[in-house]
Amino acid sequence: MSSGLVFETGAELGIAQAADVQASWLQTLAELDTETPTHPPTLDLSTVQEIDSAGVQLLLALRRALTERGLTLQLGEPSAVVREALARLGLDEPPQPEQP
Amino acid sequence: MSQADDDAEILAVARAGFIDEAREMLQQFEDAMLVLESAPDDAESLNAAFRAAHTIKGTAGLFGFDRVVHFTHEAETLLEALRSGQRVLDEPVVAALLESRDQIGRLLAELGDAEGSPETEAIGQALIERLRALRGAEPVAQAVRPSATPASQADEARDDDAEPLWHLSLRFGLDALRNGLDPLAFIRYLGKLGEVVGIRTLSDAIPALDALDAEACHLGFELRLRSETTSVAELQGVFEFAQDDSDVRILAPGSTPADFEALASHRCGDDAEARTSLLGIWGALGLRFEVRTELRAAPEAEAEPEVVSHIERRTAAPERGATRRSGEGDRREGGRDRRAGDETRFVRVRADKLDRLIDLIGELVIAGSGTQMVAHLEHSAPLLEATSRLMDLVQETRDGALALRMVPIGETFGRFQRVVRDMSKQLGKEIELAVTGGDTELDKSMVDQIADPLMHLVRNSLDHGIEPAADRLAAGKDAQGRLMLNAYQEAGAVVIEVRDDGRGLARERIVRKAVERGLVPPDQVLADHEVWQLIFLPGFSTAEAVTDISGRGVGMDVVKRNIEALRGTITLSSQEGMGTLTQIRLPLTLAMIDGFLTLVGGVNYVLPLSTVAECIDVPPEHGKTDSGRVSGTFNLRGEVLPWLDLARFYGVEPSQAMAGSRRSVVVVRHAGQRVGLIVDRLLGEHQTVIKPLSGIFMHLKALAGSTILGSGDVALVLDIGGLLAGARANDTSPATLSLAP
Repeated sequence: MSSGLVFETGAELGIAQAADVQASWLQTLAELDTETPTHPPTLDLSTVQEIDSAGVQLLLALRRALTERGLTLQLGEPSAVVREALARLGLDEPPQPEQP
Repeated sequence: MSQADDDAEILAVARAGFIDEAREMLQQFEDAMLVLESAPDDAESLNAAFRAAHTIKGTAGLFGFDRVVHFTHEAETLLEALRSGQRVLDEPVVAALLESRDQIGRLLAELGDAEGSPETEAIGQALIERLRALRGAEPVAQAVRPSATPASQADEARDDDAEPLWHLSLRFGLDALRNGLDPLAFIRYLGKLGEVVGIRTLSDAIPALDALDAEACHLGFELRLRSETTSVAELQGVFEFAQDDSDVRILAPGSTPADFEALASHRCGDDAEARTSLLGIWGALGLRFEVRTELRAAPEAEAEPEVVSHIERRTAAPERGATRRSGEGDRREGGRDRRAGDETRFVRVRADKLDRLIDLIGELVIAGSGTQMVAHLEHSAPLLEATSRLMDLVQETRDGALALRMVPIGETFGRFQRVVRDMSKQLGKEIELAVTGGDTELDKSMVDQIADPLMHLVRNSLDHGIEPAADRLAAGKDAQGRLMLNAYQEAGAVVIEVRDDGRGLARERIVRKAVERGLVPPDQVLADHEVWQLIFLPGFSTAEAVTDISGRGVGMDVVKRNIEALRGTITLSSQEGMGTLTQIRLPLTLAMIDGFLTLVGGVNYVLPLSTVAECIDVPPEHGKTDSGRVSGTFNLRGEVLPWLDLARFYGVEPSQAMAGSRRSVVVVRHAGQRVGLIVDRLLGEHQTVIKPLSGIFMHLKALAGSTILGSGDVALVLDIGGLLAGARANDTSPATLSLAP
């Protein structure tokens, strides 16, 4: 994961930071589109001390943006706070194949 | 509660509002319970009772009135059990819920102290146990078992070994995050009410990253909550604050596939793709349905037909268990929620603002009268015309403003349903209450003050008036007694009637007792209406047995005083064995009247215009032949009417009469009687704002108040009831006055 692109976050991933974080991610995405990545892109969530639904929503949007490009988002060592939030919302496990 | 004085004040106002609202809710609750008592299947009333309890609990929670919340929760839970059909509504349930209503009333009255009285606490505990016992008498509802055999009854959706799983479907509005509502926080909180056994976050609605407004909320959740203790109301309470920013649907354990189908329709409408996706999510959460697919012709001929998935409605059960939550969706569907409807139809206004408005309009009326008077003096036709138009408008404004204070009396009458029910049980009598004329409107302040006297009259009728069933049958009447409350408007007054078909007043006993107590001389001959009035004397009671309910010898005199304080009168009529009729006559409003201005001995007197029947001249010979008399009788087109000379009544010189000009008789009617008032001059109609007389004038006879004329002069407002009493008192030496036809 060292050579892949890294999406940055600060210590907080809440509604107050959402717009800034979104801009920074969009920039990183633009870089992705200009060069073919050798490694899957990584989102470093190890330093996140606070996250709310706006942050989670942004994560989901990013994941979809990458999925549309045929890429899988790697979460880099999410902090305990992030893990708890994702678990609460049932987002901690890879999507189950849905029952027919 | 708060450091800042401002906050404390705002809180106090909000609190008063809460208490007001809670009282209203309690009344709705009671009305609904009384309907349910006779019609246990009335779902609308059950919902109304539930909504009322829920609202009380919700708002009490906002203010931290924990005792109210705690107790109301128990009542609400029982109601919820009734709604979901877990418990059958029967008599013990109605009784317990009615008592709960009283208990909530007591708790509201004790809001001031955190501890509350020990008695209330004890009653509360006992009631809570009763409510719980009533609820626990039937098995608890179970989770959905769509694979169960088709149910012939809705109850069969339950199964003993199934889990208490709730299904919550949450959609948050675009502004939820911006309004500080974090869906994550709600879900964390749900975790405290039970165990979230499965959750799916719906991300389909989130726009692409480059199109996303990062502060808007596009999240939705479907989740399963395992909880044995929670209730629909509690879950709804969680989202109370998010009402405007969310659409929350809660399906209780035991919801039928039909309920889920309804939910799917609500969420997806005709969108086949969304429907399939939602059903998939539900499947992933462990819900199993038999899915029926239907091919639907696409709108355009060349397009492929769509496949639409529906959940097979195995049971044609009603939507019990499924609770609708007033979110955006519901509101668009046309607001079946009665409260929502009320909110748009009514505006809550503080009573003191209204009073201030009416005061101002009162001043406007006075100022307008002044202007009109000036116009008269100036003899300016254009000015007169302008003021006349102005006064018309002022009059309409005044009527409109007064109408704001008018409330139908039906609400007050409604309270007696409960009184009659409780008392007839207590007394072991069968009594039916019939209410008519509930739409009659009366000034709000009077409605409030009439409640106590009415209560007294109703209790009297129930206790002493209506006989026990055996006596009634013996007297050849129906075993069931009838109590009738009626109200109507009559000549500027509102008449309220309490009528029973009981044993009536025993004339002999009343007279005997009055003589015993020295209230009347033994040989006095009394007319019927005079006998009935004896009942209103202080300390008079004919009841032979003092009961819990009435008959302590206090009361009727207090009733009379209360009604007289409202410028009203009370009369009784009765026929032994047939029943009693009590009539209360109240002025429409206390604040303003259309007056008829007269002059007597240089003083202006105002008569309520509504009481004036006609004006005629006094023949000149009256002054010569009849000097010195205050009252007498005269012949009006063959009818003998009493007359009262106002000048002599008030002990002033009839100045105009001395100068030889003709005086006039104003014939007024009141409570079915007519009397002629002799005045010096008629000055015509006048809009009058009644100002109460201060205490030192209270001894003056037959005055209702004073008013200020446009000229700045003071006029006295006559109290016709008092005048008639005066005319009767002076009627001992009748003089006859003949009027020219």
